[in-house]
Amino acid sequence: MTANGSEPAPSAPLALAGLLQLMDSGFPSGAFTLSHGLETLVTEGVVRDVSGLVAVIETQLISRLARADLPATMAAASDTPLETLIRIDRVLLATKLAEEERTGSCRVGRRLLAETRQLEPDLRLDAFAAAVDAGRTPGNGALALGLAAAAFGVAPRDAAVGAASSFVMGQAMAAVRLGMIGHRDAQLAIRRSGTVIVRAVDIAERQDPLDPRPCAPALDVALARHEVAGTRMFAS
Amino acid sequence: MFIVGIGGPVGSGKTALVEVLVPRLLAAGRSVVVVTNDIVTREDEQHVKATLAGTLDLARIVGVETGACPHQAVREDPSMNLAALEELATRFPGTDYALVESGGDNLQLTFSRDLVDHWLFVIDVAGGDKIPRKRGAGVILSDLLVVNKVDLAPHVGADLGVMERDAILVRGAGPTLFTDCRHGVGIGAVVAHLEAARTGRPAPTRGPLAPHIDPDHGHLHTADAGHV
Repeated sequence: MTANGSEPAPSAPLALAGLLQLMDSGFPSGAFTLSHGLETLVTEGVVRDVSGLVAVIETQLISRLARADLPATMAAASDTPLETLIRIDRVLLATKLAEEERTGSCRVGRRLLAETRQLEPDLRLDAFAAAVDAGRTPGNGALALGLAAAAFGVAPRDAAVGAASSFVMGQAMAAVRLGMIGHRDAQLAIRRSGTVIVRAVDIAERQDPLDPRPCAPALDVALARHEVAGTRMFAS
Repeated sequence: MFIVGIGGPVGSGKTALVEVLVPRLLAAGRSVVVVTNDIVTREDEQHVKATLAGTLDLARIVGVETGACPHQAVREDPSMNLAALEELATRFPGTDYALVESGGDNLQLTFSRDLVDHWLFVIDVAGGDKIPRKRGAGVILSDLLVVNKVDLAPHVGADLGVMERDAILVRGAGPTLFTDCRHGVGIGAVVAHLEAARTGRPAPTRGPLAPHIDPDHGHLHTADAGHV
């Protein structure tokens, strides 16, 4: 439900197909190289099973993404002016305490902009990409994803659902690659996280993207520890 | 910037090839950057930097972590390698070569043509002389097959003639070169091959040319007339 109580308009079927393309693990954004701290939590034995993975995903979604990245994605998927997007982009980067998280987010953002612009001519994508190239704005993945979704005709809330779902699937696949769980538990974790995705998007709709409030200290510590870890399958 | 992928199984000598190619390319007046893809550590990046310290500006060498999927990072989703190459191209404009070393993978590794202009697949004789006839995609489809560690052939019972025959069988006209990176043997032919590919000239080598023992002198002859 939106703030005025009406149901948000769903994306048209063609836009939905576009959303699925953008959020597919095969879309070349480089997101598969990031574990967002999960590698450290697994290798240090903090997360050992599917229940632990689901708990980490919930913390990531509710305490971090819903308060920072998802509102930025929704703003970018709306008709937010470029200068406001740049302010959102800058403040979002400032909430990412670990260097690897900042670098990873901006690399994914640049690749998303580059790949999407090859697929769909869009003036907002072009303007934001030009601002990134000029060094005016960092180009976080969350904003690039929202702009890409808008270029594909995807509604802002659907863009946020897609972004959250893609994140959850990325975490589950990372857990498989780390050898912690098998393919069935990975799918179980994704399924169990469905309601969390909806909660996260509901929170994100009420969160001011210019005043992000992520708070997940354990994840920040894991991300920071990853920078000096001896075992590094992932870039974060 | 001519982007060259270097793939192959773990331990075949990809890093060693990069480390001997770079000085040769620099000596030929070419400028070079290097991207390494590590699977679990930063071992390859650190090894290349340590070996090339004093030879190549270390800022020209960057490592990319592959999320445990070395093939995905150079084939299905080469985004992070493209990002690294873009950053290097911006920082070092006018660079002639970018060498992109893949993380060690299996015989099926291939590179995305949207990532590289040309790619090499490195195998070694210690993996057994049956490797070429196993017909992995890397062996068959690469622009150049490099058979490394030829100096070990007598010690591991590998028949270089068999490898040459099978390479012709599975690669047709695709070139194959034999090297011993550790002792710098056969590297000149690889450089000549890359220069031809970069400039669009015909390759100086056509088809495999396995090293052979000179019966008169006991030397091991290679494609660039090197002796061991």
